[in-house]
Amino acid sequence: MKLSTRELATLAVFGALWGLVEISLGSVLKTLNIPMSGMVLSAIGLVIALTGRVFVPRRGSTLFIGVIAMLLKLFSLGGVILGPMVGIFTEALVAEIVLSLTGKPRRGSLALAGALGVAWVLVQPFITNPLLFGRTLFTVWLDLLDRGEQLLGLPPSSALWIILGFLLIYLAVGVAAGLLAWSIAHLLQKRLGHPDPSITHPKSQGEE
Amino acid sequence: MKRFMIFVLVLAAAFLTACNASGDQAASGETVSLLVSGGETSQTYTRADLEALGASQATFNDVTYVGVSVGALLEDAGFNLDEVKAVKAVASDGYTVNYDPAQVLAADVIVAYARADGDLVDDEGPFRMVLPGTEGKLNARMLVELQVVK
Repeated sequence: MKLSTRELATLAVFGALWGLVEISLGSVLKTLNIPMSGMVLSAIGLVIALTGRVFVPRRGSTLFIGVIAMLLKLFSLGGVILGPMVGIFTEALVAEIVLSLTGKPRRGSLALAGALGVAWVLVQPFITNPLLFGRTLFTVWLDLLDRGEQLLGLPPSSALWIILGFLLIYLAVGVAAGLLAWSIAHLLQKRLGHPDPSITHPKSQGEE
Repeated sequence: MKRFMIFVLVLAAAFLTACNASGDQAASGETVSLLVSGGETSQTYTRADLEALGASQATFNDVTYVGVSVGALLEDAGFNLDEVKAVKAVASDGYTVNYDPAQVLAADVIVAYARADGDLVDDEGPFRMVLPGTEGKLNARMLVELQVVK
């Protein structure tokens, strides 16, 4: 992938935006112990990254934005936080894989990338906690059931409903994030005098 | 647009105020005892009770805390440590986190009731978990209960 200076600058702006949201709003939400703060941050981050993808519809651009955001997270108020950094990277990676597989950015592909990117927030602790923090899957599972009890009002014995409930919420929020990104990109490109994102960049995908 | 922005700002202010009020309530020290429960066992500890159990030290984020080891606390409450499958810490603001026995029963893991140089600060007390070398979310503050999963 060879990016022009303009494209690199555009990606840097979107990456910096995501990073700033993470180090400012992220710290506030975590400190205040706001429920589902991971989902909220992921959705906002993906709105930014997916909007950036429409502006630079090249394979790898979403991941590039995520890497910049991840590096900015190093400057977070709470110090270096490995978990969120891995989270940012993997969310961007999931979105990147979806968009690379679906080709040119469209409303549907952005919605799917958003949905899977946000849903990844549910799965991520089961991978990162054992690998990075030495916790067992059992305790991560117990944490999830506790959250289900607190937020959905379901007893831990209703594990399946808790999983389905969370999955539904996360996927819905992710779809909304993808659609919002599409609308924002559309609006921004119109205001900036760029061509309609839905009909431009015919040579932008798959050239690598 | 201007009205909408004012509405959003008012809403955000109300939201942050609500969060702050919740924090103040938690930090005001309404709950000054620690409940250790699991199955049919339930035991309540005050700071004096914990002090009587021991004064181990552990450091987290460059702050040294004084408290009692979780293992000693659970044994005192009547739990057989070999039967413990997990331990859940519950904070006064509703935050919970689960620990593996191998992690939480390590000798350097404590329920802190004070800092080495004085009392716990408002947003830590009345008690807090201290797991040296682990990430922040495992070091639950404003601890009010330990639930043992057997």
